Amino acid sequence: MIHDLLLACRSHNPEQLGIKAFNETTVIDQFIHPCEREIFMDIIKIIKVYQEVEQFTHSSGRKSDTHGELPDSLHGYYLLNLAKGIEMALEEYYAEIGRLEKYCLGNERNSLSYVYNALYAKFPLLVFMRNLITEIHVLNLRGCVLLHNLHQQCEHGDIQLEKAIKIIMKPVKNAFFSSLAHWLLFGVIDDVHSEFFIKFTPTDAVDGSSFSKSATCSLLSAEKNPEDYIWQYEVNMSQLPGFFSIVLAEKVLFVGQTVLVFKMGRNVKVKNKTDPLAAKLAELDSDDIYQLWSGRESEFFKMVVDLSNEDTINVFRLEKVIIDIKNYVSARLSEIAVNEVDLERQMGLIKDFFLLGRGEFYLEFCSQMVGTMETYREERFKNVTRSFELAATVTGITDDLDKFSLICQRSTSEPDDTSDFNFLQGLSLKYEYEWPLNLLFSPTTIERYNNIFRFLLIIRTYQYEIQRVWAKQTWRAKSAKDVPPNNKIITLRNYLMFFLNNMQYYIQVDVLESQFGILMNVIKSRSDFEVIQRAHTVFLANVLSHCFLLNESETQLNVTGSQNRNPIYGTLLKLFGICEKFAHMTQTKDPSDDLEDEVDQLNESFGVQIASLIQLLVDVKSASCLGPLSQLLLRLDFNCWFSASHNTSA
Amino acid sequence: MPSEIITLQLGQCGNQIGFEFWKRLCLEHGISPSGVLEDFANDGLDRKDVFFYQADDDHYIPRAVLLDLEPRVINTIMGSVYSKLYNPENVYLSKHGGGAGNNWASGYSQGEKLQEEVFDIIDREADGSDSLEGFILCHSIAGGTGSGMGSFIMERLADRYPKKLIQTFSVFPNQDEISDVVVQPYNSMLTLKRLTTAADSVVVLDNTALNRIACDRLHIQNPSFSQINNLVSTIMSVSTTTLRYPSYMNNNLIGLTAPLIPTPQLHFLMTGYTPLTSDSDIHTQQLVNVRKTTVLDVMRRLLQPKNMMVSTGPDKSNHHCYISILNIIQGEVDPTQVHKSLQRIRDRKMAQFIPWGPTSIQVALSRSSPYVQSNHRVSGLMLANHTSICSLFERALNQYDKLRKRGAFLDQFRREDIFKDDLNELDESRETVDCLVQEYEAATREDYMQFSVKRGNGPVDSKSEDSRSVTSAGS
Repeated sequence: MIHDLLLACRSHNPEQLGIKAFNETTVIDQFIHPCEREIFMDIIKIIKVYQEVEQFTHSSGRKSDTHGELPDSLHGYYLLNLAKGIEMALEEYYAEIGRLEKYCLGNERNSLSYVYNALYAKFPLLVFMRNLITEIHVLNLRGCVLLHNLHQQCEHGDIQLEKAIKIIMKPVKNAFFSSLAHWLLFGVIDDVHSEFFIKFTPTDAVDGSSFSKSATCSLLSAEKNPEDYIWQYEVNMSQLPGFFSIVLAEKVLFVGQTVLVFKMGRNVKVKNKTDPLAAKLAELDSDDIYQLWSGRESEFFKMVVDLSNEDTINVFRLEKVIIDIKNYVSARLSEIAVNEVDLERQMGLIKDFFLLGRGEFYLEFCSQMVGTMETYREERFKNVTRSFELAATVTGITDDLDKFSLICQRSTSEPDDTSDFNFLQGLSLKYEYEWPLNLLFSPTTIERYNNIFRFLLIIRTYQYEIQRVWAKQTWRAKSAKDVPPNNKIITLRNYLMFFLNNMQYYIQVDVLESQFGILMNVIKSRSDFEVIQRAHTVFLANVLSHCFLLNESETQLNVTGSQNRNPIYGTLLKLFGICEKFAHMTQTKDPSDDLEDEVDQLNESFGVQIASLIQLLVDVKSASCLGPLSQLLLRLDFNCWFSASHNTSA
Repeated sequence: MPSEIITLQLGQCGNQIGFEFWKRLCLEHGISPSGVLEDFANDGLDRKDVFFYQADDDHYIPRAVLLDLEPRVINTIMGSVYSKLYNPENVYLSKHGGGAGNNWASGYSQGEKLQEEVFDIIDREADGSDSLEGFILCHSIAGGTGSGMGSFIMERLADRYPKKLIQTFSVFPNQDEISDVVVQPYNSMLTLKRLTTAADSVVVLDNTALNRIACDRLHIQNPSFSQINNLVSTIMSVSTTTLRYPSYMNNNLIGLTAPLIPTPQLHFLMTGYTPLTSDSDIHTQQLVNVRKTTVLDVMRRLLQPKNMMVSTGPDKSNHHCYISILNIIQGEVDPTQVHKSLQRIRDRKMAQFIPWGPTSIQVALSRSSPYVQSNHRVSGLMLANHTSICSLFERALNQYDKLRKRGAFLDQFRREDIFKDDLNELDESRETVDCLVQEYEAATREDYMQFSVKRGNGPVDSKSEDSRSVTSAGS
């Protein structure tokens, strides 16, 4: 009888007739003394708990064996490893059962109490494991979050349970650190169940499925979109384990992206045949990775493996290892970016062309686009890409402009297709950055630069037009001396020129020059690449903010809805509209008969808008006392002309 | 290359100034006296092509035309170490070499006679430019060649190149000295008319102020012409820095000039520069550390009359004001310092501005030459349109009236064709300059734009006329 009971303790089949026989028949009364009945029933309870645990491990293992079956969302690599861990923890239980069997066979007189006491010693372990499994099912824990749950239970007061949880956690921990090592050192994520805290999301993914593509699909995506391939990797916040801070996760992301950049980048192969590891890597077609690691990847790999081999997750050591790897990668990348690729020069070029630092080039570009100072073309912006190239040739800077090209996309949905503003808003500057600056210039970053570029180009174009109006009026005053100058046009022209010049100066000196100086100081100080990256992000955010472009760039969906647009930006748009109308009506060959009335209306509109702008600036400035806004306000209203009620002039 | 500029040097003064200007430009761009680019000057970021063109043998040649009616100054230039720099075909000396005798009419007349040869040179130089923007003319207004021939050439330039900018660097006579040229008031008046009607922008260089600055700031007892000309070349080179060293703003002459000249009549600019050092000072201070001048120091000093290159005299009614200001700052400048300086200037009301339109101090942070060492951490040039410039014209009017009233020294003028029949040209010039003075006076008032309307429509009101006595007595 006791032997049958022990067999039930090891049974894998909950449907076994033995247990049913125990429950259904009255045979117990024949063999068990009434005093031992409760003991027997307690043993049955223990067996039931065991069977729940065993059922979990068996079902998980069985699912993974059927390859043809589609993966179940409840299962994953981490659950599979959890099952393995629990099975390993059960070994202790099985050993005890084995010991009992030997003991019972060796003794003729066996006590049920003895068996119960021996089993009861393992009962807390079984209950613990069952609770663990139940919690995982109830909370639907998977992936790294599951690991975090296990990690939280490591600090258990019961020595037996503490030992058990370490055994249970080991395979899960190994899975985690294996993924971590592969991402950190090789930029590889094989994560069909989206369980790792770094995930790959293809930009052309239409379905909202939580499953990401596998590594092979990501490689295909890399060939399709090499520029923004690395930017499709991001931190999967839903899978970030609690012992991993967001900052640390960003570092992990950065390292893997850097590895990807090296794998995709430079075609120059450096083979060190004397190094057997390098030779091995060459066979694996990993010469580019070798450039990054310089043979140190085995060292770093061992560091991660050592973390995995510890009994628990040592959070401090984990953090230190990641920081060490990140610091090495960042220093190496900074060394390449600053020394080899000359990041200073690249940033100088970006300033010259995205931020219109080469004023003489853009002067020529305006001339090519809309006509020289002496002519006025009604049909403007005819071939803007050609104008860009011609301006480069005329100015003699085709070498510097080698990496830049102008793209023009017409938005046919616009009702007013002939508007200069709408056309200029369709321009984009494409920049072919040098490897490995992919990590600085994501597509989002380039789009931000283009926002600034378009904004500045609008100001520059209108400024050019107003200057041309000035030139024509100056020349006419000399040639046609008897004709009195039109003072209304002169007055409005002066207002618009003043406004545009001060806007340009504010943006290019107060904002761009100041922020650029800060960024270049960081680059010159040979900081590691992450610091450069962060400084660059701050630089762009500050520039967009101070140019009143931040709301638009951050909420692209609301570009038509004016509610989310920066009100200062809205007012600037209206002022730009006035500039455009004025430049057109004063230069066209067929001026309207009501030219003076139209100028009066524009003058009135300008007065309203500039008063609104200054009021907005005053409000914003008082709200945030610091910042360059006070500089713009100082420039625009230096002699208090606009803030005083002088709008009813002329 | 776009926005090329041709420099015309007229008369002794114009050629002396121009000579110093080209020397300085060669130093700044690393061009040797023979026009060869030095080995160290290879960064290629500067725009030499605005003022120089490259010959087939890669020599850099100034886009300059040297004109005089007497040979002394030009012969000195062509005998200097810079003789190979210039295109000999761009140097024109009149055949007889007798000069204009400090007589505007003689200069004007000779200009008319020689215009075909002169404009052959100018046209050839203009044809050699890809995208000519304008002309810079260096001259004196009080002599014969610079004033008379310069006036003629200005008028013809305006006719032949109506869509090019004409900017002059005009040297006004020294009022603190008894002039060798007794007919200087006549010459000045006649030239001022052309500066008003034919030039787009006039940078006024007042010899009275230049001498005062040389004595007070540079501590030179009796400044020589060379030292004065060196001052002028500093003004000329810094005011063109933004054209020669690319930046985001002020890339061409129109972009530089347009904000300073809100209405076409008000196109007379004054300049200031600080800090100033002479060559002897430079030698002395080479042992001393570079001065720790700040942006605020520079911008504040530029507003002080003692640093202005124009002597305007005391403003008794304190009604004169700035129409616009452009400060070109060079050196180690933190952009935030500029803001603080502007704030300080505004808060302390260090400058008075027009009441009829928006204006401010524009600041161009300009790069300077890496090849020229400066003893000052920060330096600055001011280009300003200020209504008190008209006091210079009033002075010219007063001196003119004294001579004209007595009909003195007019015989030499009558000998030339322009004055053969009558002296109307003189009186018309006076009228033009008088209108200019009234224009600048009106610009101090709120209703300036209304004044312009009335002025354009017809003769001025009798009220304005009464404030000035117009007595054109005959000889």
